[in-house]
Amino acid sequence: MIGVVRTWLRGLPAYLWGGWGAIASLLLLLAGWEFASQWLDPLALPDPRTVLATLHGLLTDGNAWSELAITGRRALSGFALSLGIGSALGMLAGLSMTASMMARPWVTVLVGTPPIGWLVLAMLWFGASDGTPMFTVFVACFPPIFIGAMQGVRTLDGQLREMAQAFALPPLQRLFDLYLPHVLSYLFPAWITALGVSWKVVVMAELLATADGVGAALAVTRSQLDTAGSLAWIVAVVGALLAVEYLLLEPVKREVERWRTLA
Amino acid sequence: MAHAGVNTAALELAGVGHAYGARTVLSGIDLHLPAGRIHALVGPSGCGKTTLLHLVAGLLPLQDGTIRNGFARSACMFQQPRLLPWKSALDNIALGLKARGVPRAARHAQARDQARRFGLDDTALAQYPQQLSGGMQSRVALARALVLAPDLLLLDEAFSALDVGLKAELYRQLLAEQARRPMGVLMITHDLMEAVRLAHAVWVMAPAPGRIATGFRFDDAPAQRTDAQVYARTAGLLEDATVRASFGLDAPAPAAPLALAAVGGLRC
Ligand SMILES: Nc1ncnc2c1ncn2[C@@H]1O[C@H](COP(=O)(O)OP(=O)(O)O)[C@@H](O)[C@H]1O
Ligand SMILES: [Mg+2]
Repeated sequence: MIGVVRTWLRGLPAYLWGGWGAIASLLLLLAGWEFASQWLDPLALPDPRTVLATLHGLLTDGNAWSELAITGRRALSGFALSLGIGSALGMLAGLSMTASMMARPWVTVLVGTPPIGWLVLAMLWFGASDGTPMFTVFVACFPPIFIGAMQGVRTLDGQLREMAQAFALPPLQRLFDLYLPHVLSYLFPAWITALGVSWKVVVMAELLATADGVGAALAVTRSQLDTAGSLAWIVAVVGALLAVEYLLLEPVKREVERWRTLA
Repeated sequence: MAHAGVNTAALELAGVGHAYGARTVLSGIDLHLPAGRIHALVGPSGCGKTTLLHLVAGLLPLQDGTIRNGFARSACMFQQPRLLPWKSALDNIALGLKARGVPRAARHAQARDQARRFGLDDTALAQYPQQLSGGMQSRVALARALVLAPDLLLLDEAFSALDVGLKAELYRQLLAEQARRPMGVLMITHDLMEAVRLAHAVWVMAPAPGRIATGFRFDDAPAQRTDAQVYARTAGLLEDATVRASFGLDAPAPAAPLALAAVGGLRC
């Protein structure tokens, strides 16, 4: 126990330093934006302070939160569907050589079909309901999660599998003590990738298909040639994504993969 | 599969054979391992020892012959520790108990007991396998098998990757466990001296296809054997023509052969 705490403490400065590095490089990006905005027409690229002020206004008058909540609900439910179904099917496919060979071309077709194609189909099937963005997000998130899960199962050490058989691990224990911990190391990066995809795709779907959500708000700012408003919404979406990834997924990943970092 | 139970606790193999595809790697293996005895199978690499052990452990379907395993509980230790990297040493030791449905507190207590006998302290038990030295990992793997209180222990080259000091220590721990709670042990090794040190009977396998070429009995208690005895017996075995042929050594030793019987060995 003491050893674990000591190792964690030793790793902490590096983690914080890594965080400062990320913040510093974001600030550098902001500086570059500010610099560029001095040379460009404010209609083309308003300076960051104007955009942040616009965002602040959107957030304080309360509208932005409800739009973000609607978008977040759609993105996360599509993502969650993909996470559940994609992880389960991917793991099942990984268990069988035949299934994984058969699944590959299907996944290639899924990856190759542009999201906008799925969106058009979804609009035909689900109309202007929540179903359209959710379905589009689901389809776009599915391939990386499915492939991650399948590869996780396929790469499991055969010797450990044999050991599990020799010690007569029952199926549930085999799942939780053998397959999941190994597969999670493949699944987590896939989930994070898919989460990013879900935010991008949901905004695109809303822009074209729904009357509310951040995407719809972007459509309005675009029609009013309100560049500062558009950028404010974009900053809000990116900020929400970063928050979910670094405040939720990263800490969970660190906890689940503690054994890996202690090697 | 013919893993039928019999009343007398013994492991009985009759005419066991195995082929991978068209390649026969084992043929006509007969073996009788009574309770509480240590039997060693020695043979050159690739002669089918691991295959035979997998058949006994039920990890491979039986193709030919019969295996009657009268022991209620068996446990395995492999050449590599094969520990789960995402579990602490304690949880690794308790793995088989968990598979049997032993509640968490009870299995941890048993695992801790077993680990103490093997010189693993609480600090080591809290660590992940990759934080432990190779020797510690092997001890964890042996503890994981022995904590199940098996009456049949299957060892597949379990000690061959260790240095002499660690080997000696694990031999001691295995024999101490055997004295505490007798169990049948079937150990596989390519190390003749290891077999002579630990086993009541040594079966020598010849390759292509794997079969038992000859066997020797040593009736004294393994824990009592001195280094000198072990060397003399190993030398004696190495002068046997059948043993030399099995390992692909050239022509039998020229000089007057050392009488194996004089150092306590009997041909089976
Ligand atoms: N799964 C397998 N498929 C095909 N051939 C195998 C397989 N496992 C082992 N063999 C072959 O069978 C022979 C015996 O292998 P093994 O039982 O591992 O021998 P040993 O343990 O004595 O070194 C070897 O020649 C090996 O190449
Ligand atoms: Mg082998």
